Amino acid sequence: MGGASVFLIKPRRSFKVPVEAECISPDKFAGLNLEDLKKLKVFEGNRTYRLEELFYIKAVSKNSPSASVKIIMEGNFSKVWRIGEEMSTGEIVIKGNVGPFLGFRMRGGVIIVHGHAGPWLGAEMRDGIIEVHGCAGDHVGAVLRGERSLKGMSGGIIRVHGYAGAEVGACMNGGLIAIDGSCKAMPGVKMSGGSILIRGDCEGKAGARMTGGKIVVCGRVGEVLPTFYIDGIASSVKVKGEKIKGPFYLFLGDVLGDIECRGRLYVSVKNNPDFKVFESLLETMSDDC
Amino acid sequence: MEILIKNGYVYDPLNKVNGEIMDIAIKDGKIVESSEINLRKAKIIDASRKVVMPGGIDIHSHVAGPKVNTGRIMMVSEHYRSYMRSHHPLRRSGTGKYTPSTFLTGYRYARMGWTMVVEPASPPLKTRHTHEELNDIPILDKACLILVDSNRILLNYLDRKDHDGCKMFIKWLLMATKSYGLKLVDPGTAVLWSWGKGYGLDVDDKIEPYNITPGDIIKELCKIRAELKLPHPIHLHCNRLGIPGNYETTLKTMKYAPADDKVTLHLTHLQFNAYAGDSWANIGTGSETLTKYVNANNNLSIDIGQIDFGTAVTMTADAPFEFALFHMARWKWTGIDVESEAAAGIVPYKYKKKNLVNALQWCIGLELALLVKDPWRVMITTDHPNGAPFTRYPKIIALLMSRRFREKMFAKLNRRSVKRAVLPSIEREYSLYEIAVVTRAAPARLLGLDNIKGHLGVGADADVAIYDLNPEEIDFSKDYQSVIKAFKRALYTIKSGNVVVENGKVINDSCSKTFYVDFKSPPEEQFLNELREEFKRWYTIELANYVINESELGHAKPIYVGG
Repeated sequence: MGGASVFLIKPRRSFKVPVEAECISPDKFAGLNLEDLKKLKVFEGNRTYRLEELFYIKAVSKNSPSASVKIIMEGNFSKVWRIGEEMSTGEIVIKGNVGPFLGFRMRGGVIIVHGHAGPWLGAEMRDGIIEVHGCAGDHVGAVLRGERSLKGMSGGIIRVHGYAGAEVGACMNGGLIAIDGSCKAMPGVKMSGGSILIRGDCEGKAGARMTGGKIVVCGRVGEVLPTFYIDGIASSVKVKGEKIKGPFYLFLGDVLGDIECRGRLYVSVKNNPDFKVFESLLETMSDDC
Repeated sequence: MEILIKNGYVYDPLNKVNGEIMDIAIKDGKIVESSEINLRKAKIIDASRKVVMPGGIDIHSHVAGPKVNTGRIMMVSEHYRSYMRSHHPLRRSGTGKYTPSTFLTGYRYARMGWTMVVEPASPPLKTRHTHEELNDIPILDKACLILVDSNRILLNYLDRKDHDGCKMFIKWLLMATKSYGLKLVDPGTAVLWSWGKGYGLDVDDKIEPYNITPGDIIKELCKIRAELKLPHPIHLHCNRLGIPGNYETTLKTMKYAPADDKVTLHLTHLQFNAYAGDSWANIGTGSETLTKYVNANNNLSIDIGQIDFGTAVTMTADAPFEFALFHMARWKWTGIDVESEAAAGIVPYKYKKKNLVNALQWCIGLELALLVKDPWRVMITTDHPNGAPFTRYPKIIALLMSRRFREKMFAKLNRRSVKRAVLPSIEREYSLYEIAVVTRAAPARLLGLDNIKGHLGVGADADVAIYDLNPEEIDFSKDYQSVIKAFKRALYTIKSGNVVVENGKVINDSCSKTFYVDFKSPPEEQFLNELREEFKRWYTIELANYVINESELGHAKPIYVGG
């Protein structure tokens, strides 16, 4: 990044209780000089600190205040919450593990994690890119508890190169979540749009109550909910311009969420030999027609 | 502790004091003559150019009980967004905006200058839970009313036309639950809801399988209430709540109130029961007809149940209506069934300014308050948290006091609803004295506590609110913003002779108590034996475990009544 101001942040000590650091975000850093920046407020447990009391901050290269901001973070941030909350521009690179709510309600910019991320990664995301080279916790790109389902992830891209936890993309309305490893139960619960691509296995209950969107599982699926109908076998499927080779069983559902069954669930044929029984359903259907 | 409040403009309707400059002296939690206190020791509060009123009383606010708790669980999203930090040792922390936690409920009421709240709907079986939560609400005095409308044992008595048995059962129930009065919610609906029926049950319809109608229940319980000499009249939530055209049902219900000079029937959150028309599309206001009847009959009182725009959590023992509302709101719903006593439903709902029905609801609530001529028989409520959280009272007070504020709001509302409403043609504006009546004196009188609550005469409980408002300088009609500001944060709130709020901040969270009615003569042994048998048929618990002891209440304050 040519014209960017680059800041380096390291933790001063290891944290035992959660640190709420929503101020670590390019939007909040923009236009501030180093001295002002050090005075930003963070919580550790129930105590307030200045940012510099918990973290070393260094300006690596400084440009005009209007330039875009890049934040490099080194060390273990697994107790640090809400980094990059509502950020709309700039870049955050984290070399180490990071805690919950990374990129919460993010509206733009890029976050790259060279380590593992906690739960609620990119929750209620609007736009932007998050890339995690390790694993992620539960609720990747999900909606917060009790919120209206309209408030779910509506855009942007989350890529997790490792494993992910349960309820990936709950109440998702748009965007893409791609997980290279496996994930736990209930990916895409209540989703109404967007795409979820799981290259590994999934524990089951994929797309429970989904009313739209697309879920692709390339590995094993424990079960498909009985409220899904099989529609056919697709040789390949396109996810945001990327062609994934199949073949896949295509299920439509969830009839509990919407009677019109606009949600699509693609399940690999090769890795799910038990699903052969569904093929017989397809045959009888074609005979009737 | 001795306190002298000097030179305030005192508004004390029960003693007919209207804005006179007076001193109020407080000693040992009571109001005394100024000569009785020691000026050297006393804390002196200079209230010159300020308004001094008795502490506010909320007659209908769902602040405690299993239903409220379920509402809190359902509204997780507001609990992590709205919180108050603890301030050791002055106050504890809390969360929630529409369904605040118990501590926050107490602090928020006290900050507005309110000192008493009545939880109006507690199923008798779950009243132990209600008391546990009431004990946790700091600062305020509390009381709870029990739901008796669909109690199977009571309905059996009513079906057999056994008046004495009915009376004895009600008396025992009040004693067993340590509650203050009787609440009827859509009489009979909860029974029918057990079979999935009951939506839109009218006051003259038969409650299957019993041979009685909701009207019979109302009539009989009004009679029992008079015989037992309960201080609070029957607290009634009318049938067919929230259904267009329900004002006719309400009018029919009003006719069941026994004739008397005093109030014998209190119709609660009447706004939800004052709709004309026959569908949501042609909904209109029935407030003129209803208020005309209320004005002509001294035995009725109402509270308005005003809505305010934004999110609210509707929770009522009218379970079928909540189920219908869920299909309109499409967010989340909880249904609760309390054995053989009651049912309830909880649905979060968002009132929108541009929605025809919501805007009309907003108008109807204010129409009711403005069209009832006698302020002693109308009370301000939001049916917290059904219409809006109780923290909107300052706004509602300002709306009643300022026509200009109302007109400013019309511009933001749905245009068709403003055309259908009567509100634009009403010129009346409440005076500060009338506000003191509707928020303080009238509820105190309706609760039968006007000897100790709701006034500032000698011998009353020292519950005082001081607002930073100068009635000589401010034209409330024009400067309604200052009214909102003053009522939002009381300058001082004094509860039982202790300063609990200073400059809008809570500095003390003690001194609360719970009122309940008690009888001098306990029920007869023969009746109890009968009841024990009946109990085995209808309940999952033993009679002995049902009864709440006085020790389970935080600071119990029995009110002994005859009968």
